[in-house]
Amino acid sequence: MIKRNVAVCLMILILTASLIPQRALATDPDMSVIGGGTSDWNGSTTTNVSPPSADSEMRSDSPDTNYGSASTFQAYYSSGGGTTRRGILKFDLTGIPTSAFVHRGVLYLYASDGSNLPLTVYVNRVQQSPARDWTEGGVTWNKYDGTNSWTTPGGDFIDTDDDQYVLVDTTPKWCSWVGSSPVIGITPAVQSFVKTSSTNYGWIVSPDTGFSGIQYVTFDLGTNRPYLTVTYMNNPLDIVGYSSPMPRRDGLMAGDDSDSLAFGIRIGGLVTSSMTAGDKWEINFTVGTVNFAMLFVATGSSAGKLRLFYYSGGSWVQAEAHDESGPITSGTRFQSADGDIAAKLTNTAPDSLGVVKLEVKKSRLTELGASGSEVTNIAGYTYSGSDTGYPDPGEGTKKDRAPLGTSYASYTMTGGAPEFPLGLLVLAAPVAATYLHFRRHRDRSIRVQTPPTLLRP
Amino acid sequence: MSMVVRRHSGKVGIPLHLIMLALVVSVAYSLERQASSSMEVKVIEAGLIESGSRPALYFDLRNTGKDYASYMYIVTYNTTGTETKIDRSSVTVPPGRTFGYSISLTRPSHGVMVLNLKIYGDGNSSDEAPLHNQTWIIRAQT
Repeated sequence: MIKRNVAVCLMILILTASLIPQRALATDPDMSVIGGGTSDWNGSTTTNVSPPSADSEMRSDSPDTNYGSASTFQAYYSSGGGTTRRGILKFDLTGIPTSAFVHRGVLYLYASDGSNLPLTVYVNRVQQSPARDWTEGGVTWNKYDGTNSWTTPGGDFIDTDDDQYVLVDTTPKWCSWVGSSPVIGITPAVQSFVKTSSTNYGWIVSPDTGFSGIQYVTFDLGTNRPYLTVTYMNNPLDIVGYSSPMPRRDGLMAGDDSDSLAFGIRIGGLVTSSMTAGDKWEINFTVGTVNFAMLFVATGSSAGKLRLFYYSGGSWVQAEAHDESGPITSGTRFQSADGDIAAKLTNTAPDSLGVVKLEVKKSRLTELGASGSEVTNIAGYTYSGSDTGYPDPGEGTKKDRAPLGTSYASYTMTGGAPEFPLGLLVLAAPVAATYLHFRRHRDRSIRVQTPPTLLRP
Repeated sequence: MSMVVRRHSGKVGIPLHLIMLALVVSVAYSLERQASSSMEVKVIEAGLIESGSRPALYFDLRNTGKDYASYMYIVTYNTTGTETKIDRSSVTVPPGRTFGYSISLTRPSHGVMVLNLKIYGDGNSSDEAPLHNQTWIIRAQT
């Protein structure tokens, strides 16, 4: 019995010890976009690329004729004769940095004539692998460079169209393949062409083949030449924003779990191996009545300082500081020794935005006076020229902000900031359980002793 | 039967109470430590976490006074054959609050890294004697 009791005690003690909250390292909460609309968009660049570097037409009714010098092309279909005519064109995008993040790409073609409209006109990327490096002077229905044949006459292209446009009447006008939410049109194709110009073989422009009869639209390649509009970011201080009719790509994110609160600034052009000293990403927010600021300032090409401030006595006060001597690698999370603050920088890639993620433990915010679960007055900022030695909130040349202007975003934490020291409860509960256990054992012993007492004369 | 039970009860009674007492003392000690952690006299706690290829220096400055306190810290580190790096900064800590600092370093591939931390009580001057002065030697990863 004694051994059993001692064992129970030891087990309870071990359990207690294991449950005592340690100063655990911060976690890595997922984030989602929070409200706030657009950013300031200071750094985005829009360029019109015109004319195409090559354009032509392919006709099934003249399969070996080249139309590279023609001034128009048709998207034409005749169900009776089985005739199809397609346009083909490509643009030189080498003037855009290969590291740019393309926000938006829009193709414009001028429709000068047509018949039996409406007609849906598709744009499909020309097959990139194996390469179909077609030439303006050589492309025909059967061959892509005058020598080599298409695998499928009429052009090899990616089956899924990048976008489509419905022309409803014959009034001459500009048609734009702009995409519509949540489809982002030809933007991914443009991004791909920008990143790897060697695979830029442009698009094939095809008519819908569902109509019974003859249906076509004629596009002008002469006077009103096709052009491509590309909006891109190539600066790590550009916060991505919102632009109709593109899908939402707000530059601010937030998330939390039981342990930590996290914010993300989504940006263009970030490369963790080549940051500029003094570039700074900062989040301001309020929990309860306390204003906080978190920031990361680059101190070298691959190093930086992470800071947590709170507003007290009329000025910003540093609460936590962590210096990362580097090298900082994309997607690798780093944190302070006590785990109270952490950060993760993810490079901008052709198909994904860069993100500066800043994390703080809720318990640390509580220590600094935060209360409740509402996070308000959230704004993300980028600055250049910040002091790398004493990086204070708001310091440097402001480059961008999200949300736009003077508005703010808000976020409700799932768990809120902890306000009760659960450690005390964890310590007290096993003690109470142990007491109750031995008290019940003692009662049982007394009950066993009772009969002999009653039998005493 | 009753004698057996009484003998059993008598021998168990003392260890049980002792165990209970030990539990209470240990819990009280834990609570006291937890409570004192925010009030202890020592205001500076510094250390080195030697974990793998990324050792980290850390320190906490706890202001136990009733007024704002300014500190200046200087972290100096150099690796064999490389230039010495100095990170100097000032910080103001409100009464009752703690400032936490850490720096993540890269363990040298050869030789040693000499790491020194100095903390001064005056936020703007290193003329006086430091409140804290400690040096660590970080060896190359084997």
